[in-house]
Amino acid sequence: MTLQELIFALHHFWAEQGCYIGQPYDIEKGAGTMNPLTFFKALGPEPWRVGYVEPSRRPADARFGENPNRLYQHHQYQVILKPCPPDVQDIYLRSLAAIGLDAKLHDVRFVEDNWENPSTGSWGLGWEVWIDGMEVTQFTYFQQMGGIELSVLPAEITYGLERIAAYVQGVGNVFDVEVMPGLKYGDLFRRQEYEHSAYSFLHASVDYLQATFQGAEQEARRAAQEGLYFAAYDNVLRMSHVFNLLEARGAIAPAQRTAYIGRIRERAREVAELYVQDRERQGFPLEGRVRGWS
Amino acid sequence: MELIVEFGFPELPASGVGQAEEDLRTLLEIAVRDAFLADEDLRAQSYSTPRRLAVRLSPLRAAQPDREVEARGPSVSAAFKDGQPTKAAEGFARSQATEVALLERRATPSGEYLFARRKELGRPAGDVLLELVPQVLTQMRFARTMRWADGAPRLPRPLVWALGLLDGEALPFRVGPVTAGARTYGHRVSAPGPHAVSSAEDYVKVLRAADVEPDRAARRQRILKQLIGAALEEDLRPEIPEDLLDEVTDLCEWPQAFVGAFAAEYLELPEAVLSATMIHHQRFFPLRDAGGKHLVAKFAAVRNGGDAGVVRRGNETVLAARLADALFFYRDDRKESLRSRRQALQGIAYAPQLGTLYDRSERLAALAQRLAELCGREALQPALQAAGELALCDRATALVRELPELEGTMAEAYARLDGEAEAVCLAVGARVLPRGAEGGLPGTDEGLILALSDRLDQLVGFLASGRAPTGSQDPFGLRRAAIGALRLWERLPELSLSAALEAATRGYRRLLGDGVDAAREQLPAFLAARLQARAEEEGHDARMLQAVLASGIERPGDVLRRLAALEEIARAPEFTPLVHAARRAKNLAQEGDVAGAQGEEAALLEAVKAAEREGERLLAARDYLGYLHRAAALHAPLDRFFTEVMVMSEDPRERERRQGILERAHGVLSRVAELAALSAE
Repeated sequence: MTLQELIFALHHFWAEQGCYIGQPYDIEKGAGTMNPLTFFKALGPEPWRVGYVEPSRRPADARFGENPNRLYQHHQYQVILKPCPPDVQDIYLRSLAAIGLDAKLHDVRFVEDNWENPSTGSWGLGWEVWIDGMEVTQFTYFQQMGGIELSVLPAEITYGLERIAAYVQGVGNVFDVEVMPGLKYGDLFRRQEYEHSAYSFLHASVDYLQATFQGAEQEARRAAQEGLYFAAYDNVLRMSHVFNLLEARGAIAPAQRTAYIGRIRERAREVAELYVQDRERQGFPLEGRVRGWS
Repeated sequence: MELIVEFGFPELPASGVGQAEEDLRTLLEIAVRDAFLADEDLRAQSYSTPRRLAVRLSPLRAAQPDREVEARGPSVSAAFKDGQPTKAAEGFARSQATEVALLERRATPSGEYLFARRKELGRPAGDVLLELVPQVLTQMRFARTMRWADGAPRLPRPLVWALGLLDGEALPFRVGPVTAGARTYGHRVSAPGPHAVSSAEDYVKVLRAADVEPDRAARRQRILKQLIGAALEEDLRPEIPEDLLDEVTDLCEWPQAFVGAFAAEYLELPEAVLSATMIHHQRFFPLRDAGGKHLVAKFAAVRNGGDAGVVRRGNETVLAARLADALFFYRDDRKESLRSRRQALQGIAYAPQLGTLYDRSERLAALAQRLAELCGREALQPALQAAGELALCDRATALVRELPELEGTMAEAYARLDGEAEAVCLAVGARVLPRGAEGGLPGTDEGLILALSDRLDQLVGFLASGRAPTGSQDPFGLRRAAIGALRLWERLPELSLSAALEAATRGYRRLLGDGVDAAREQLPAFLAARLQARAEEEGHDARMLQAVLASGIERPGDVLRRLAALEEIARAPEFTPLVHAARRAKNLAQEGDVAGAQGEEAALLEAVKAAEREGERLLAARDYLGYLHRAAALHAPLDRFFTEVMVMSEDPRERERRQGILERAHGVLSRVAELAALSAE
């Protein structure tokens, strides 16, 4: 199964579960959770089901394209089921079967791993899912997002696509993964991995990054004052990515770290509240709209 | 009657399963007793897997017995005014469904009161249990819980099913959206069910037939046997850490052990790296050759299902990727010497206000050398200087960044590869010891001194910057550090607390100024509290320990040894006269000039001086039992002194002299412990 067949299979499976098949959101981010399709839609009482691929950029994990398993940018397949159905684990196991990982053949384990994103004021309890000892999915029962306790609880399922593809294809190096017949992952991304590693660790201008962080913070605040929460949120995403770059660049002392995270969290909280207020004003229009969602 | 209840979950955190099983059993036992449904002969059996907690109770009464219930009402003086019942009396009678005239008057220690008695009819066990079982779930305490349904108690994971059977009849108690039934679920993949359960007796049989071993101890034992067996087939020996075995037990319902292999090239990695990768990241059990000397390129692991070959090959692939990662970092680290990484420590903060790791390494080097001097081991100083400077350098290596539990271990391994002196290598590895309350101690003097320096530097820094633990919160691990320090100190008994503290605070003066004085004042009591906790855990007599601590903890490494001596002499016939003598001496003792002693005064003073001389020798040899025996010999001259001499003489000079002699006698008697604080019975 090629990487793109894997994605097709997940699209197909989750569409059949009533998910809207969404698109990645075009601002750098560390995880699919930060896509507005998850960050906002988890909030409030409206039901929601979505599945999408998200390129996730983690500058600190960059390895110049030399490490067989670690990447500056990897791809997550992100699913939100809200409210969380009681048989969510069984549905998830069927999705594994759909990508060739039959639980009758493989040893599937749910190992405690709670999720927390201090920058967005979000957390939940859950597992990393292991297949034959390999972590392939992060599974989370969300409890809080943007500093707001969630009223209807979503389940988040995040697949690590490269790892799963490498495993299914039996290759030890992610750059050898077949994306489509004749095309390797390395063909697409090795140079990109090298460049972003060099940039994140060695060349990014700390002055520029710090100015960008401050600018984005100001814009997030200004947009929020106008009630423009989507526009504000774009700037929160910028703050978060720039912070990750600053950290990889070694420009943030441990003592300053908490303060930076606190500044991002404050803005994230603000936009989360604005979103909920706006949906409430609109009467939570998605409640009872889509069959099979609630 | 016999009850079985089971709560079914998506996989619970492995770290909490055992405790949760025990808590559920205990709470249910208490609840049925409190509800008058059980007697002394109640037996409870419990079960747990990652997906279930279950308890079986018998025998239970079919119904609660009828009971006389008594309620106390208002006092008689408040119940009647001018012979007429007040509102208070009438209200009480109404609440008890009776009339004021039928209430009883009775005297109590706090005056005369009204009482109502009524008979409460017992309810059938089934009715009571329907309410009681869900309540028990709300009393459980878990490390982390979540909301999962409206009106349901917070739990570590959502409840997905419940089973309740009372003598084979369904007990349909409700928890949030879940109603208990007479069915359970088996292994998630091989026998999911639902499976009907007809009785408590049937429960275990049904589960075993559905690929679930519900008895946690049996599951653990099964894993242990399988691991040893699987390794034995290859003529190998598994390394089985207890906590890993526990964790694996709580990660499977139907364990099956197997052996896998990895490429021999990874044996280039230090054994500690191989073990950490296998144990911490994969929950594998490393395998050693038959002699137990060397790790081999194989591992044992436990699966919970799947096809044996597929699962083994998968696990091998994953381990190979991890080891490739580790080897990549290891070879990268080896491009530079450990020593050359010292500058990089300037970029890593130790903790806010406490400087960088570079500052800390400077402090460690200086402190370790000073402690060596205080212990009279100046010869160790050059090695300690080098070890202090090198000890933290592994924090700047890629491997320790990836596998933080290898801190210390990697410093030692890299130092050895760099050709550092063996004493230095051992010391930098020993710096992080003991790892737990029971963990092994350093094997060399350099190691002991460096490890103690490490703990003292940590304690002084965090206490001086106002981060002492509060209640159950100890985010900086200071209690653990103190326990470690005390264990290390036992191997350095000659080291004095005040001198060590003086040395440890010196290194922080530049950063914290006078703040360090706070630490110097707090630390003795902080250590004493840890000593007390430890002595109590080990079953020592709290009063004896108090007596030892009352004579000071200037030599922290000696406290437990002094305590042991005191406990020993407490069993000897001299103990009663010894305590008696110490008390009498202390009562009248006061600092004073002892010149001009005569008669019994002179006799006692001579005896005290002799005891002081011999005592010093015994103390120097740390023979505390011998010392106490020697001190006990003072009781005869003290007795004669008290018989013959009037201490509180009218003559002030005479009185001062006599009190002064008693002061010196008390000094001798209180060197090992404040004996006067003990009772001799």
